[in-house]
Amino acid sequence: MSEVRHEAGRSAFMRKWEKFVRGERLRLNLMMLPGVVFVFLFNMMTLLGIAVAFQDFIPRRGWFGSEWVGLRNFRLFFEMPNAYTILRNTLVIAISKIVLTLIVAVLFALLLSEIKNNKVKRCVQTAVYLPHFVSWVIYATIMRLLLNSDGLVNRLLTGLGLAASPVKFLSSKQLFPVVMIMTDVLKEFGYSSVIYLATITGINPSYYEAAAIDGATRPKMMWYITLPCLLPTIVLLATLSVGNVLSAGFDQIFNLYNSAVYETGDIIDTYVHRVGLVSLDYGLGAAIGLFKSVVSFVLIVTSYTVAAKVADYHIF
Amino acid sequence: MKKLLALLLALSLSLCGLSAALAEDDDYIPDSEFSEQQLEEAKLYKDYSGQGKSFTLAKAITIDAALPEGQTVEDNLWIDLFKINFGVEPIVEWYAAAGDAYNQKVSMCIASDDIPDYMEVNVNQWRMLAKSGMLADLTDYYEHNISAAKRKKFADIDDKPLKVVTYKGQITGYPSINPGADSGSLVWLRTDWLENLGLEEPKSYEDLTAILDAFVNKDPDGNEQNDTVGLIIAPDEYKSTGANTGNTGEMFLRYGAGVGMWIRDESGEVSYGSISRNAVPCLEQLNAWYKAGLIHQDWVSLGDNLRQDISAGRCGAFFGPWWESWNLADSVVNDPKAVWKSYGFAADDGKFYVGMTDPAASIAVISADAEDPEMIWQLLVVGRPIASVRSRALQKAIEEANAAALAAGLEHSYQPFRLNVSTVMTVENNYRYIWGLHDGTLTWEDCDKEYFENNGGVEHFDPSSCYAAQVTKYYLNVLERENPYEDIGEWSNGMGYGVGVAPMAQDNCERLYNDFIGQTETMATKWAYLQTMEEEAYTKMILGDTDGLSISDYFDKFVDEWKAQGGEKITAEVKEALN
Repeated sequence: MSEVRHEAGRSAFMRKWEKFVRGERLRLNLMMLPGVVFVFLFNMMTLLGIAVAFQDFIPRRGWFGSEWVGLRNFRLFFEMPNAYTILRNTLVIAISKIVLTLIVAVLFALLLSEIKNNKVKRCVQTAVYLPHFVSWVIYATIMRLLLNSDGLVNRLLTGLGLAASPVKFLSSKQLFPVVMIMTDVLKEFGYSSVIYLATITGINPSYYEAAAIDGATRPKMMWYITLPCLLPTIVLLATLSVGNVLSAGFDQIFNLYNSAVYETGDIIDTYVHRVGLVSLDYGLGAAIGLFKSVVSFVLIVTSYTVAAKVADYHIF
Repeated sequence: MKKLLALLLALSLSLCGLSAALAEDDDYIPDSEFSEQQLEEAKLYKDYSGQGKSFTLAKAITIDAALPEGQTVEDNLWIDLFKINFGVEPIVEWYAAAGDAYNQKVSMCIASDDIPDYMEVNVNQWRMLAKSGMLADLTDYYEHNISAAKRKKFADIDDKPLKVVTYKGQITGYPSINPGADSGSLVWLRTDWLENLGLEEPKSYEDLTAILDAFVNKDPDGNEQNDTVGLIIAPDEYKSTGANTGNTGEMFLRYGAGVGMWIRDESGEVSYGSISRNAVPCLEQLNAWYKAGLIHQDWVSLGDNLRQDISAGRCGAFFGPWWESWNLADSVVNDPKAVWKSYGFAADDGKFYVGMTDPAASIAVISADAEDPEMIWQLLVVGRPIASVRSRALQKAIEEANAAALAAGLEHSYQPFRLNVSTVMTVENNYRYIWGLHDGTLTWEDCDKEYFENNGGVEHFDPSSCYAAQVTKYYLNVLERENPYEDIGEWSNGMGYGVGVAPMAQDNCERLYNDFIGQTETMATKWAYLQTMEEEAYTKMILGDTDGLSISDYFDKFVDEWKAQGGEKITAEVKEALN
């Protein structure tokens, strides 16, 4: 009697096994396997490298040979007299960039979507998102040529009588952060707007037809239909960018700053580069990186929770 | 019987002829052709040829240096010469543009624990390597494997370079001794503009005010356009020990402040020059010039474009070292009317003070993992003493290879070893040779005698084989010509030696060295921050961006801050180290 039951159980198992092997799930999981292994090795295993932040790291001696110094590297960073100034600069520049890029990108997407001529639309789009692919080294050189005392911008300003003498865009500590923010927005807004444009094209046209019947003007349509449909995308992108708030753009600032603007233009990354890495202090560099990652993590989790609780938007 | 005798005679005759031929070995150079000292030095030489030995190295290259057809960085006529000379093959493992690119590559190598057998590094990199235990110990070699002449070069400056490369009692690097002239910052002016405006040559920094005003406002190039800019200086280039385009260091010294140097002040105590009150009048002068528009308005943000206006003929005044002639080639090619001259202005006591860069600005290091560190030391330091080449055929081969490389116009920077261990006065001496030969007060033999002795009997002052002699010949050629810019290569190579270095070759030039070289305990954590604070303060004072304070008050504030943030402690440690 029991043998019969066992027989039946085994074949049931065999049937399940066969179903599994021939089914969708195995194939899909296998397809994911290389990617998962990759992420595991290069993103998760490397987390062990966090140890460097707590050591007086000497590459030759490696992880196990370098001296453990606990929180010394972190203390070193915060004890630096202008730690507060640097943090402030970083936050001001980064937050302004995020907010401004968002506003400009959304506005641009809204306006561009109103253009009927497809050719014009595509040309403008390409022209506007091309700067994203240009390296800051080149973009900075171009900016310098434009913003120098005898550059195009200053010639326009003095020629039109808007400025009495050439404006020192790159050497004035008041103007420098403004210039950094604006040039970065100029460079990046096109690329961000692509996502918004894509969302807009996905909006159900029947909404617009219904609104037209109700007698809405185009601006009203934009406000009541397009924008609310864009909101989830905006929240998603904003949440993701919030995590970057401590990276205010090393490439850009490094290529354009100078000792006259350290006070308002020095960000965490440029400061660490100048003071820490020139003396080959790997432990300090790793400590700063860890600090930034922890802050990013906390901010992303917070904004996700806020978005979920307050606006009832669940991103994942 | 007769036949046998005849045969024997013929045989012995031919045997005689044969042995005579064998005894005739003209190829071997006998002892009599060398001096005692040369034979002494040859004893140090170790022959590695024929053993198929090689070693790896990294090279910093000058990006614009001409590389003739068919030559590469890894395989060129200098490397061929090296192989013929030593019988050892240098393998260039990697190379990068000198400056930031090279430094980054070195840092990467250190970080990945993969350095070539031989590299030339700066002090910070050397310190990291020494701390990591990645370098071969060379202390022994300094005792036994070095010629007296070379040893004397270090002893002449109190072994200061050796102290820099010593870590925990072990000497782990071979330091450079840079030509002293390299660190002097001179004022370069366009004398054709001075003539156009009817101005006299300046005798002091104060005279420059009127000159700069004319250069900026009175259309010196006569093209009726207001397109000329003021004096070019560079931000962060104000240390007396440095010398790059735009460095104002020597101007600070004229007022009595050895900026960036540890020197004895009026009270006889060693202190850091940047906090000396003597810097204030200089800062005030620079600020006055800036406010009056006499300094290039964008000097702070020019970055790599520092020389653009000079080359384009819009700038007639800038600070720079004696070797600016290489860069000025662009300027004179664009405007053949341009004539440049360098000036150095004396302090109140009549002396032209120049701050010297630290010896060991560049250090040659040998990896601890190298197969044969002693061999690399031998190749680098002992080299090939003249009396070690005993075969005439080999001597001829070496001379031909050398001549071939020079004739091809192959830049000297492509040689495997580029460490400068010269006599400190080498450039100034060249200046004397050029003018002495031109005036007829010196002969080529006189120059050779002095030069040969100075370099320890290694090289003769001969234009076909010696670089210093070559540039001397170039500039003598230039002086002969109607149009000095006819051969721009000869002009740019020779002008620095013939004109550029003039202020430093005068008798009133006084060289000042750092009294303290190295790192104290607190420096390891605080120095980088103090340096960046100093750079920021100096730039702001020149700009006049002093939060409403006068420059003098702002300076005092800076000094107080500097002392409070660790400067006081470091000064105390330095004083202790010197006693």
